Amino acid sequence: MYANSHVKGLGKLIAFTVLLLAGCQNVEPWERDRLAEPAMQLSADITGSKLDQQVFFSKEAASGGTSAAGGGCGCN
Amino acid sequence: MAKSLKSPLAILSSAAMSMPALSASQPSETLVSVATSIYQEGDARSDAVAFGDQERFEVKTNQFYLSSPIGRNWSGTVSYDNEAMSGASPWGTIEGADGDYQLIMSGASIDDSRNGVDLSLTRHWRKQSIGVSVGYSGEHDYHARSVGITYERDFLKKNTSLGLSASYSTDDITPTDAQLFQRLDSGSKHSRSYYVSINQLLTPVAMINLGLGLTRRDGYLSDPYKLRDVRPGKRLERTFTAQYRHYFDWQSTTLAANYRYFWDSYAIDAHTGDAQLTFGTGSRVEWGPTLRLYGQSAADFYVPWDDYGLEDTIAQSSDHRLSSFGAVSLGLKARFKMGPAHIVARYQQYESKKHLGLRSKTQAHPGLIRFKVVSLGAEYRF
Repeated sequence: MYANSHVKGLGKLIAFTVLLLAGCQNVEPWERDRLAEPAMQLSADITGSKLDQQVFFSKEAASGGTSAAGGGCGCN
Repeated sequence: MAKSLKSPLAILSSAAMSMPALSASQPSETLVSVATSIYQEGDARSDAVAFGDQERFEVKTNQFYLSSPIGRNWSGTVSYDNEAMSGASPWGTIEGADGDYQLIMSGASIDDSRNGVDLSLTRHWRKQSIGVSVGYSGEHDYHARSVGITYERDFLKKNTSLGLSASYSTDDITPTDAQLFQRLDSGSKHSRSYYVSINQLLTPVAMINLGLGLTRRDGYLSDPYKLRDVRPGKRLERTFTAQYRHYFDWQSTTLAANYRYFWDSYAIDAHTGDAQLTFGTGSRVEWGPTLRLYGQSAADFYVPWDDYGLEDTIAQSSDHRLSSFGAVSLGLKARFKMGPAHIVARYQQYESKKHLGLRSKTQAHPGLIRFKVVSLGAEYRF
């Protein structure tokens, strides 16, 4: 039952992704100056993001979600 | 559509030099970043501690990061972290006389340090890249080694990018005072992790990234410093993430919004949402607030207090991190630019609460924490 609901959820996610891609406009290279701003990047602050990941990894049960996980530490 | 403020030549240059978010392109500039931070937990309440010290953890962290193009087709990163930890941590919980749970704490004599190094090297082609990475994290009682591989490919004139990554890590623990406290002499665990993501430009001012992650851990997953902590030797973790970026012309504001759903074989599921606004994007001073909300359910073997009547082969843990709780985190961040040099200051305050947890059935765990993090860093780009 639990696994079934997640399979259905995954199907909805894939459908959403396909619709998303189909509905996107083509953004030309000369239109991307704002997208290229450092604040628009997924990791706009590398050291800050790494510190946050380390802190939350050691204080909460959930972790990951930005890349394949690396090695752990004695904090968790 | 947003009105452009730059000349066509400047726009083409910036687009060519700095590709948006996830992309297989070679980075165009070298980035050197250093930061120092202090993490301070609030002390445990006196009525919540049955034995031991009330003083919780303090961690001082120094970080170094270097990212640079190498030749025409390569790039590399070097990352180094050093942490110095001190304070007391919970050993377990007992049921108090009035029915409340109380903490058994260690003395505030924990004094440890951690050093972590990560290296990566990436080969870039016109539409794709392949990278490899190695990492090491060492404490006096804990050593972790990891290797990873990453593949990125751009499609549709770089409007869409696909990212794939996999990693393997092996961690070894040799607890201190093992004989004195009848702890495990040594243990190890192995983790295999996979991640797939897709990055899509939506408009000239918006993009989204969707990702799915899978991590399988096996081996010794318990906490040897707890008086009684027995966890299943296998754990399967899954994540779904959505990251959205939007640029608003009003005050040159950037919105970074992220959501993660986590669910694992311990029967824990968790929602994490955070948002950051940055005002004055592209100007000499960028600043803005951050908000993070978190909520998790309890592990199916979580117990409010340690039951020594159970055999030590039956899973149980009173670790507050496996209980049902949630947390609110508020922060402020500012970046001051002086040409290629940037100063970055951050402040964050975190408070965990039982009522923000998912499917909460038991009393609030007395070990739930609150903490503050203050960071100061410098970056140089050339």
